[in-house]
Amino acid sequence: MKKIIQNIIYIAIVTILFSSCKESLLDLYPYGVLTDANYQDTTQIDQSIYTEANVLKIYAHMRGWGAIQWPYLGVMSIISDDADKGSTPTDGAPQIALENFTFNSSDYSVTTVYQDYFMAVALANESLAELDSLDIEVAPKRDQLIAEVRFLRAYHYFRLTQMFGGLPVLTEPLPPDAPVPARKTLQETQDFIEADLLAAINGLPDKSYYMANGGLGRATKGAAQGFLAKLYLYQQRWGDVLTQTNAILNSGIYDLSTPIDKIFTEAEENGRESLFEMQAQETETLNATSGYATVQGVRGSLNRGWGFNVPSQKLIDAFEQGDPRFLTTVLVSGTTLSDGTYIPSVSEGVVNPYYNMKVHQWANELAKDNRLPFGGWINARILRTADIFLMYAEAANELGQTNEALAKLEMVRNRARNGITDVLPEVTTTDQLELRAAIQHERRIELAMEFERYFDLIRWGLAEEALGPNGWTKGKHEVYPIPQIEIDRSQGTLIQNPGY
Amino acid sequence: MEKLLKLFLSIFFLSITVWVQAQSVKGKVTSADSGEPIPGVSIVIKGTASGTVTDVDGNYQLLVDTDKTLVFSFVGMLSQEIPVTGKGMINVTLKNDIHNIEEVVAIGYGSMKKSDVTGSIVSVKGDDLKSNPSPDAMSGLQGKVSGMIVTNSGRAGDSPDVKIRGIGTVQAGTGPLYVVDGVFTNGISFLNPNDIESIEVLKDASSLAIFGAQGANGVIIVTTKTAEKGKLTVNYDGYAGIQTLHQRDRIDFTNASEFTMLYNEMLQNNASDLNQEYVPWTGDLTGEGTDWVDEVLRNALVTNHSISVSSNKERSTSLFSLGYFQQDGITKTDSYKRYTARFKQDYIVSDFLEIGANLIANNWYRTDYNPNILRRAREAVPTYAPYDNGDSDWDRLNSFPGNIGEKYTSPPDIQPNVGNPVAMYEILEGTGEYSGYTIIGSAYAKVNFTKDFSYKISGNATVSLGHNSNYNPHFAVGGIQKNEHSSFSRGTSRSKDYQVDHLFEYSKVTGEHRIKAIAGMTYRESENMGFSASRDSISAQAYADPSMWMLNAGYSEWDNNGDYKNEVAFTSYLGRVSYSYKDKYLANLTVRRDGSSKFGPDHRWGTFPAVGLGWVVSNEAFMQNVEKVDFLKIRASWGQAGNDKIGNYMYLPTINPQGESVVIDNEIIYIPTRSFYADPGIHWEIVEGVDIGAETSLFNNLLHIDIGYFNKTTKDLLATVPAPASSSAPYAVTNAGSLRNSGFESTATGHFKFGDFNLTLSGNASYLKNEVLELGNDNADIISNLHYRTVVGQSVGMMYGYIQEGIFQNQEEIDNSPVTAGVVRPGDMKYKDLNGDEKIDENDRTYIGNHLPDWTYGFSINAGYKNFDFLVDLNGVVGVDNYTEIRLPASWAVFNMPGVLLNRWHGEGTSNHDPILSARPDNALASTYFVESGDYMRIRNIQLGYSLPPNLLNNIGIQGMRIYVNAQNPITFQNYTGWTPEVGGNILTGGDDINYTNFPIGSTYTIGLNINF
Repeated sequence: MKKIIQNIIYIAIVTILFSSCKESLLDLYPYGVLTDANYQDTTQIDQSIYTEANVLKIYAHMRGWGAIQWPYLGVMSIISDDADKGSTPTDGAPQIALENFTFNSSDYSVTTVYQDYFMAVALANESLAELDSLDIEVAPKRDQLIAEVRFLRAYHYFRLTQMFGGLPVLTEPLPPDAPVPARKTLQETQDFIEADLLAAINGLPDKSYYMANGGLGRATKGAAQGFLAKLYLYQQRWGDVLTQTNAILNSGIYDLSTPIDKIFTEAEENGRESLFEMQAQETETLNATSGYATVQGVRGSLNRGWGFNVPSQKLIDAFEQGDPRFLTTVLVSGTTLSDGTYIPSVSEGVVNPYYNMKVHQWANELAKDNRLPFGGWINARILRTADIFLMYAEAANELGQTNEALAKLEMVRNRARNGITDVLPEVTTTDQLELRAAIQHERRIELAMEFERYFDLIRWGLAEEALGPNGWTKGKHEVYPIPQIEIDRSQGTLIQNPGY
Repeated sequence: MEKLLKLFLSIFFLSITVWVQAQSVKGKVTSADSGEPIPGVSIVIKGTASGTVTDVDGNYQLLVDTDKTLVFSFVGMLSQEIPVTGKGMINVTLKNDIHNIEEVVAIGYGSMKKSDVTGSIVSVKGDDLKSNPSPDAMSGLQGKVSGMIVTNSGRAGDSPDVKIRGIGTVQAGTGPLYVVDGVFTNGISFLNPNDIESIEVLKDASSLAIFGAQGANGVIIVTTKTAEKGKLTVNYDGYAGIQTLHQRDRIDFTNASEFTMLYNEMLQNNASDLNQEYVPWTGDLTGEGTDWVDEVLRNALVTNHSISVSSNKERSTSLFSLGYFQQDGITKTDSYKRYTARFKQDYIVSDFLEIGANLIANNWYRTDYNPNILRRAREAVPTYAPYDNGDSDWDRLNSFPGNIGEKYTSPPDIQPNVGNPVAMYEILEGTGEYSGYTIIGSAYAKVNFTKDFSYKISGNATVSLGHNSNYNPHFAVGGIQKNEHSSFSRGTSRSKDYQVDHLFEYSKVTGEHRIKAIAGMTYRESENMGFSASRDSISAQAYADPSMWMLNAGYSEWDNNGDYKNEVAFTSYLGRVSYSYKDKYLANLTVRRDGSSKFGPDHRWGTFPAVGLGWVVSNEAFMQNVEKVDFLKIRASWGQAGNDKIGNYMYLPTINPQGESVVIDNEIIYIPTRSFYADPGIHWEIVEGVDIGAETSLFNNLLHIDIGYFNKTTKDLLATVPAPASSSAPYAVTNAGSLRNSGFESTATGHFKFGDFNLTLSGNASYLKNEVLELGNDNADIISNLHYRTVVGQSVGMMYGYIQEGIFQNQEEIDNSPVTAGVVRPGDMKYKDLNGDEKIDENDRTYIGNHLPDWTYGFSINAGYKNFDFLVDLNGVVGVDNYTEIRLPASWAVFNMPGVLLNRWHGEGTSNHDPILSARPDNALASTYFVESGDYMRIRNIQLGYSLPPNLLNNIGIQGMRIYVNAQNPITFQNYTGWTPEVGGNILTGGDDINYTNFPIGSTYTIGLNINF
């Protein structure tokens, strides 16, 4: 019996020893995963790089699905009279509702674009909150980064106002449990964008700075001025448009020296024509591609993409006789392109007769770096010099500065002639109405398939005339519906646009 | 009259006792059921320790005083007490103790007499599961345990999804904890069902508290077989059979002509909506065309062999078993194979020491298998043949010399995203292999300090090794069905699990008190690690030469590799006291304290208490005269358990150093991102529950009934709310909210005997109601998408949308009805104006379906006549909805259509249910049109067996032999359009059947044989 009791005591001691050393055994950490705690130690990277990463994430986000790909093409381009859905008749069928204006607040493209653009705003606000808390001593690039973020926030908000009108104005990160603020008026939202752009202009370097010091592709002073000009254009603040466009054109950084058939080549990405682009790249080993070109690529036997957002017959009919820009805008199936690429015809298995030439995968680019034939490296041109010239011309004409307007218009047309003398006669009318129509026509052709047309039509009050037969309704279709799921998730603070 | 008789007899016996003397009593003990003599029956003179046992023929003889009473008892039979009173011959027939109230059930860290249990525990014998043609014994439990929903998968070798008492979480895992001979696991697919002695399902919070932070979803305790008492036995069990998906269980799709007609009708409607010219479409084939579903399905074989040898000597028992299971899937190229072995040895070294060891090993193989194959077969249009018909296919421009995709027909240009299903499985057949080993070794030593007090230490180690390899050939069939570079990948994984349990046990019976107490400490540690690598551009010849399917045969410049490793540890202390007074009043107290490395240092400890009370009413004096009631117990319990099935280290914010790539200066640079925003205070969910129940045996144990009510609440619910687009993302997962599951469970079993015919009927039914009590973010609704939302006061994951009232037949009807703000034309959906404001808008939506069933039930008939036995069992659910978009035209390209769409609206009066075929968005709004009942009743098994008479077999050394035929899932009664009404799915969006990845369940017909030597 005594032995038994001894045993019990012995075992009890062993158990207690066992259990007491187990406490520390619960201190386990993941392997091969960096945490806030070990990140700096392991990588020897200072916090400012991490802070900068939060800014760069917004640029990366711009390559995304709703940011620039299929849903975006739908709400910015396919809906207009310049483009058709493309692909096979039932492929991407929900966008038929955009073409005939039967879309509702559950529309996939509208919802996705809304969410992705607000996601960029949220990323920007998070980044700003972090930057604001930094000491300039620790982060010498702080002010430039803040300016970049404010530009990016303004850019995304500008697109949102084009599509939806006035919106909740978010100036700081919103936790998921915070109520969604109510919508502001369009004017209030635009004021917010204007303030961001003015601050960005103040803090951003010129493109020439990036060309010398690295950083090409990031937001520039010129880009901020360009978007401020566009905001004023939508507000019909013509004098302010002139101020901003003038500043850009006088900077000496941007001009029309790029030939029309080179603007959309890889070599001219971020070139003299370019104020702002979505940046994508594909190399043999790394990839930061975008589906921007893929979703528009030739569908069928060449198999360069999905074949959406194709030029409409109305757009083709709108080109003036012999306009060299026709072939830099419209890729015609069954023809051989200037780089030697043969595009099979519809009877040879290509699905659509026309595609967007501005996302063509040039033969020399495709041959590089073992690239896949989906154009993943192609940058989307978001703002380019010709747009600045045409905004200038439009504002000048509205202000009665007819000669200024004619001069800028002629500069765009002159480049478009591409050395051919007997096409695109110079516009000489001094009648404001006629000149307005000429500038509107030029804008349509020069910037065709570049997401300007639909909201230009609405801005000019021409949407009913151009799109009424398709179902466009005045008083309703000037803006898209706020996505129903966002109204539901706001617990009712978001109010739907009229008519939906 | 009865009382008078008793009085008379009492006086009579009393008078006899005057002449007390020893006399010889002999007799025979036989079974009341079979009439056979019973050897080994213990006969004890009441109040003494002396007695005897019956011999092999059931005879006994002993010397006893005439005033004494004899107690006849035998395991599994009801004891009888008979006063001697001068009789020289006492023949006794013992009845089977059918209710088996002395049955012992495993309760975790010990066992308990079933009659002492105060929680809700269901016990199932392993022998009831062994003829179920599935590698996982859980599959056989479908419909057998009230309150447990088992959803089987039709894929070869798959384990079923198991949920006990509904869903108590929205974010964490819902699967129960499995405890196999004390080893904690996540499933039992490694175990040969033949090796299982019993499975106990622990359902209520008081029973689960002993498993602490891992117990909240219920616990399945699996006890493997130990050698039977007596002698050396050899058992063989085997079956072989065929599985098939009957035409009646398949979705009816349109044939080539029907599809062409419907597709052209849709094109015409779309063109008309766009004011465009309609261009008709024609495919290669008309008439029947290709039945792709039939092309990818097959009649598949299933085989199982199991043999076990066991011996039981005085001081040592041993058991050895081997198993082989092979199953082909009903889709081509799907197959699974498993070898199992088990060795169990127990020794009684002395009265002081018992030791034993158990080794379970398995080795499994799976072929490459594309889970999308049936989905693609459902989507592929029937208008082209699998193999190239000689036409020049448009995609041939992408072909290349030696293209193995050349012989297949390219998918038509209207659906390049679907792929030729036959090419899909043929090209990849045999190119992938998945295999693994699991070895569980456990050993214990038990020291009996005294008769009442013991210490047991047990330790176990589980090692699982996994391997997969995949060769992906270079091919082009057409559309996206191509692979630009051949590649090969290989991955290995290893997981190790150690567990040590220390357990002290004290049990004592003194007078009317029985007490049993345990105290223990357990430590468990898991480590998982793995490695994978791939390389591109294996030589083209490698397709025909599997010896080239190696990383080394690829270009090392194009490689990709990675690894992972993680560890989890638990430390726990546990205790339980069970007390019984006069066998009438029962109390069980449990507590467990758990520490887990999954959570932050300040949130890793928790304590889980429980209490259970029972009152055996039938043992009360006032019940002794109620003869119809053999047993009646009322039980009530309360307890807490936790659910820690969330990711590891979610309290730690992590950074991905290459989380995002960005292009600056035309060069790609990687930037670090946070993987997620962590809540440092995150911890397990706590489930607290109350159970009240009663069990009774009536009419001489003819009928057994168990009914119970439960009400359990999950607190500290882990919840992330799909946030509005305007909020910053990503965001934290945090403990917020609570939800409740409550309901009734009932089981009834009746035994009937008519001469040689005996019959057992049993049934169970349970009702469950789920209600969200509280959500994070100020009870903000969780709007998962436009047709699922989780809202306080409703069940988790309710379907939400409009109510369809029919189809607009003509313009007049539209003009006189409330309509949406869009364009509404004849053939469009007519929705109900719920708020009566004469328009259809977002305010006319409501809750339109619930993916959690109200009722689940099972029923079985077991009948025996002489040497024949017959079984039918069935199960079903009532009140469950699925959300299916099979009737909605596809968003991308076009899919084959279900035959039901032949009844679509195509002119006034043609349909009041299916709208016009078109892309009109208002017809695709979430509505009751897409909600279908998932109710079903399935005949699970029909089995007929015949046991050969022993006298025929004994000459050839066989003890027993039974042959049987079994039909599993032969008939399912249901009205659902999709593959299977058992959709399951995510918690917040359950019953979602948009993509038809749910695998249909086939019917299996087997013939089996059991032999005992």
